Formats: sequence, C-alpha cells, structure tokens
Amino acid sequence: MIRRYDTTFIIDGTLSVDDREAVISTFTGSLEKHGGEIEQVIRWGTRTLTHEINKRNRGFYVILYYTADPSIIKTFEREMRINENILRYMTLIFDGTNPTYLTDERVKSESTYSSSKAAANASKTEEVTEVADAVSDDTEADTDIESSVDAADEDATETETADEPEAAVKEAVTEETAEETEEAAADDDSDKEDK
Amino acid sequence: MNHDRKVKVKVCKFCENKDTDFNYKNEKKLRHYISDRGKIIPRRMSGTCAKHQRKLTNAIKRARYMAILPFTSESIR
Repeated sequence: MIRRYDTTFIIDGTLSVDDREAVISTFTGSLEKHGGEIEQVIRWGTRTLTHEINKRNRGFYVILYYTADPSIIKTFEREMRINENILRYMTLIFDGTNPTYLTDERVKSESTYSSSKAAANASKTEEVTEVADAVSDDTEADTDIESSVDAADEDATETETADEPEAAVKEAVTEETAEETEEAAADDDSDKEDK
Repeated sequence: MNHDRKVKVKVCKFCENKDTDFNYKNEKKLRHYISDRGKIIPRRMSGTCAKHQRKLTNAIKRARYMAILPFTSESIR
C-alpha cells in the first residue's frame, strides 16, 4: 500500500546554509533509499519560532511531499528524532492539493539564493586551485595558471553579488514582522467586536 | 428575567465559503481564530459550526506544536 505524506520539519536556525542543505539532502536521500518517492521539497524559509525549542528562537522550515509505504515512516521519523539539528517534525497523511500559500524560499528570492550558492561554490574551487598550485610541478604550471585565472574571474563576479543576499533576507524578515504586527492589530479589533 | 436583546445569527464561515482546507501551516487563516492571548476563540463567539471548529482546533494545536502559533501571548514570556 502506498500513501501520500506531508512531513514538515524545523532545522536549527543557527546552522549555515551549507550545513542546512546537507541536513535536507540526508533526509531526502534516506527517504529515497527506503523506497519513498519525493514529489516536492519546499524550503519554507527561516521563521521566528513562537516559543523557544531547545533554546533556539529561529528555525528553518522544510516541507516534504512524498509517496511512500507506511512501514518506512517509523524509521524515517526515528532518524529525525536522533538528528540534533532537527528541532521538530510532523508527518501527516496528505490528501488534497498542495497549498498555494506555501512558497519556496528560492522562488521568493530566486536570484539571491542562486548567487549565494554560486559564491559558496566559488570559494570552494578557489581553495582547491590554491592547493593544486602549491603541489604542482613545473610541468603542470601552465594548466594551473589557467585554472587560477578562471577562479579569479569567477571570484570577481561572485563577490559583487555575494553581499546582496543578506540584505535581501533582512528586508524580507522586516516585511514579515511588519505583516505580523498588522495582523495582530487586526485580531485585536475583531476581538473587541466580538465582545 | 426577560431581556430584549437582539441576537445576531452567525453563520459558519467555512460552511458559507465551502472552505475545507484546514492546514496547520496556513498561519494567516488560523490567526483569525485565536485571541491576542493565543487562546482558541470559542464557537459561541466565532459562529463556527461544530464540525469545522473541531478541524480548526486540531489545526491550531498542530501549529502550536510546530511553533507557528503561540501557546500563549508572544509578548508574555
């Protein structure tokens, strides 16, 4: 028997982007290993938790839609419970269509996400080429120079965009909080009317 | 005691709009059904029917567990 599931989990908000992506890929990987079929992975984004969980005030929400045999859910949830970077998780049988109000963080800020990831990759390649330079013999010198030049070019383009994502994220956060306060105000009004 | 009070007939909003999506991740919607202290607004105040109030309550409790909605007011900690 195959069922559709919806698993949401909160990753520790203090993790770096690379660590967070590693956590996500371990769980999507383990699902596929056990025979689950992932339909969609939504990175909902970093949110302020309404109450403290494991002394953390911020968390990154990830939503997985997948079809799987019910027997694998137990092992999947056990893996999540063991992982210290997962603050909370919830698995529900999912029927109906995917909600439209949940947007992937990358869709929200497509450019900022891709540029930050590219910057991360660029820094890695830079390190690799540096090591290669140190080890290289005279015969390999020509190729190394070429690769290092490429890396330098990449760095020049990436460093320009690298500063942007943080600013963009901060803006997004302030917008969210502004909306929340507005909503809270609206709630207050409705409460008064009810009374 | 015979008070002449006008009773406003409330209709369940979910029945009215044929709205059956009670997802705990829909914070915006659920926020309308909790007080500013974080309490679930009772049926007698919101006018929600029993069936939908039950689903709503489940969704709010799930949202609380996932730290999407507060257990109590967010300003009081």
